[in-house]
Amino acid sequence: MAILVTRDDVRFENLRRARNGRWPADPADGISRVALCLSPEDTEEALQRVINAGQRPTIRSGGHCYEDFYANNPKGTLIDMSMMDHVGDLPHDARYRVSAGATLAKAYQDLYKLYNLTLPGGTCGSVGAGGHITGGGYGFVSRLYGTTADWVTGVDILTVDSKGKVALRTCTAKQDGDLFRACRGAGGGNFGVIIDYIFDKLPPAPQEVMVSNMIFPWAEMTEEKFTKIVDAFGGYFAARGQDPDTWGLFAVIEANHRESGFVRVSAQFCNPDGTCKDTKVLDEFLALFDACKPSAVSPAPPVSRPAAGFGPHMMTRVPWAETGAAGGTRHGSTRAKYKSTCMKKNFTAREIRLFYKHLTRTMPGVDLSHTVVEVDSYGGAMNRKEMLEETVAFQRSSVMKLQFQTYWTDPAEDEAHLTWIREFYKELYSSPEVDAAHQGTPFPGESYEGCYINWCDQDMIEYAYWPELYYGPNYKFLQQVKKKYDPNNVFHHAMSIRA
Amino acid sequence: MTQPIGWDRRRFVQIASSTWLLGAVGSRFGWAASLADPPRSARFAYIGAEHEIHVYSIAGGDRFIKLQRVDSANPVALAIRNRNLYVANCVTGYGSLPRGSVEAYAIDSITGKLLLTNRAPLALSAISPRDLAVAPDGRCVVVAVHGGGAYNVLSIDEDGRLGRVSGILKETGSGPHSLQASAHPSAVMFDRVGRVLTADQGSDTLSVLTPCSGELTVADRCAVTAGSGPTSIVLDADCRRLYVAHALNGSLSSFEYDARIGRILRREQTVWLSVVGERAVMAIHPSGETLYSSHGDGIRVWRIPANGSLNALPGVDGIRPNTLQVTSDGKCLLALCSDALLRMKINAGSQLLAAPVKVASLSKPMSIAVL
Repeated sequence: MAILVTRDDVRFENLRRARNGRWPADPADGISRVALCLSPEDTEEALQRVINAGQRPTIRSGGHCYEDFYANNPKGTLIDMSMMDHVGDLPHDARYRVSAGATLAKAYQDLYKLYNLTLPGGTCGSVGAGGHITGGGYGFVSRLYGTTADWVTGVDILTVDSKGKVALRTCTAKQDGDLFRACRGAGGGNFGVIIDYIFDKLPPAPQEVMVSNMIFPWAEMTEEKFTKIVDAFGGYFAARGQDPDTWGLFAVIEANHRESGFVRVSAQFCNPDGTCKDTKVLDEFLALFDACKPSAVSPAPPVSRPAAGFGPHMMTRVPWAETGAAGGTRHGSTRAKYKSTCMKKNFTAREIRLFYKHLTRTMPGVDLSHTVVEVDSYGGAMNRKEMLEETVAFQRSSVMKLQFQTYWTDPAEDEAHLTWIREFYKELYSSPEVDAAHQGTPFPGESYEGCYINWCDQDMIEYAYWPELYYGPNYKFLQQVKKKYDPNNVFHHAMSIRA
Repeated sequence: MTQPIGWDRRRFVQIASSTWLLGAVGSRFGWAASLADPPRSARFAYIGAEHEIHVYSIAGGDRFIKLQRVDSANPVALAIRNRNLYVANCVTGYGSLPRGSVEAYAIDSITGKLLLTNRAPLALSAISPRDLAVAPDGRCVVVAVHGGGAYNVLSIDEDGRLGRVSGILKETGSGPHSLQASAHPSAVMFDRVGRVLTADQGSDTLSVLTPCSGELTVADRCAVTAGSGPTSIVLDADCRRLYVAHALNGSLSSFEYDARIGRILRREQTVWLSVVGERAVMAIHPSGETLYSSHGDGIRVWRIPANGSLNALPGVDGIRPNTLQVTSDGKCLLALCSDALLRMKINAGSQLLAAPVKVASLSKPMSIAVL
């Protein structure tokens, strides 16, 4: 039986809190109890009790949801999957399983130690598999291997039928194939409680990777230099970066706000064979920034064994098992807001100009030192068109993925931070690259490919066409799946599939 | 078996036209003329239509004078308590979120006009509410959420203002009919002791709910005929008998109800009609002696003797009301059709209906409350 933590339990105050300190926005929106599940049977029983009581369940695996999808559940029950963190096979089943509560860090470590395998993504070790993989899941080696959802061959999921009966399903391409496809890209909290992801096979863990970090202090930054950095990065991934020999390169521009002090370009690289014997591709990429003269170079923490094999550019050799584990507090008091964009082309001059404008914008009395746009490399194996039919992740032509982020702690700064990020985003996509009907958004078209559901942004539901931003042409299919497997809309949140 | 009374389409059209002409004369002289404050003895009717609520004074018991029109999004159900009008907005989104809303209006005690107090959102996913009821003590409103498959409770402040959702009862369930893929709460009412009776058209369920500390708990459940789609409910004057109109199989049924313990004890009678659809409406005479019903095929009249059984009397054919309301004095039955408010006088002795008279022309009226 699940451990039920209610309001009179001393653990409740801690367990109820969301990672993003903004949620719940009002205490009255908060949950009334947490069901800590230890097994599939626990979860099934706990979910059935919630349904029978006429309550609403919300689900938490790692708790990283950017919006209030699990935290906003007035007087409802939070099904907490964090203790269901099995990674590996089962005595009767040789396939690999990653349970919903497993963090990516645990998944990376266990898969490496048990099998010398890895998940293709993502980048934050404390993220839980439950929501991450069903939203797509990409990261350090996704350009080489595709998204994690691309590799899923089965999903164990608890659904609630029309009569309110909870049942465990194992969906695969051959069994409940529509639900299986929907679970590969729709995002969490839509159809049921995911118990396990099943993989017939997984990619090999790289033996090693090269890591490089280039720092560009804002004190030495000019708009011309900023433009060169961003244009070099975008130009590379829009063209050369789509060649298969470069797919082992994952790079990020950390375009921090001026108040943070610096802009950083980071890269992690291995060759398709999982080694770093030849660093030609990485050298080629890093050389793009030579003219911009990174004034400082530092390895990315944590690094335990800086390698000696430096080429013409500074880089650090890191064992695979030491990457990917970011850790972090589970229930932080940090407040945050995020937005996302999938880009199909390099940045335009206008876009770079607006980046510079907003990253140097100051707001009196507001600390923007923890404000950043991360520009992630994309494409490669993630753009395999054959996956369009197998998953609902429709973004298969993107070359970069942008994540707008701003963090703060004082609730009094909510409005300022939200204003900063909203105005930046809206101005950026009120442009000739977006057709008249979709101004203010990166609507799928020649230049953009919408938004990423794992970086959910509730602001977008103000646009009636928001499902197209996140699901492209697949929303009708997802609505059919929703009707079929969750006819009573038991599982819902602000951006869940609306049947 | 009902019989049409002495009325035909030609007569109806004549009456309707002359009444409408009177209304038209008023409107030609401008809004100000029709907004004249009514005499203090006037009663008022509030009619929800597609995008608005119309306010009428009822002069002399049968003349409807338009007083006001206020914007309102799909006001599908209305309820009056303590000089406040509460409105369920049958919408699928409010504030960009998938949820419906409820409005509160203050009713001017002299003019009968409405002044919006506030509009409160329902819970997430509580889309397309269908009905609402205000507690006898006026401290909360319970909403039947047809689209979202739930009941929501909202508190009411001393001044009539709606508070936030304090309780959610999420329903599951389905039935064999194609319109019963999920739970669809469609009717809600309070009994005399403050329990909540409900009908769920999607799951073929009647429920008795107990409001407590702003939340709802299930006191009793009663399954009705599978596929019948219970759509509307009324209690008799003694709260001993619950009448249920089933839209999906075209029937009416009665149940013995024990208000003391809050239980639906047993089904007593089912009568079958020839028409099925998505809507079925009822209204009971204040005396408790007559029930009026419609499944969209005219109005049926049912005499209720002491044993509570339903005995058919002659009704009214040729109209398709979506809402019925008996005035509190028991003298008239009001019916909303696709484009009109019809009034039928009720015979004081037999409680049979006179021919309908069109007293107001409206676009898509859907709800009515009379003060």
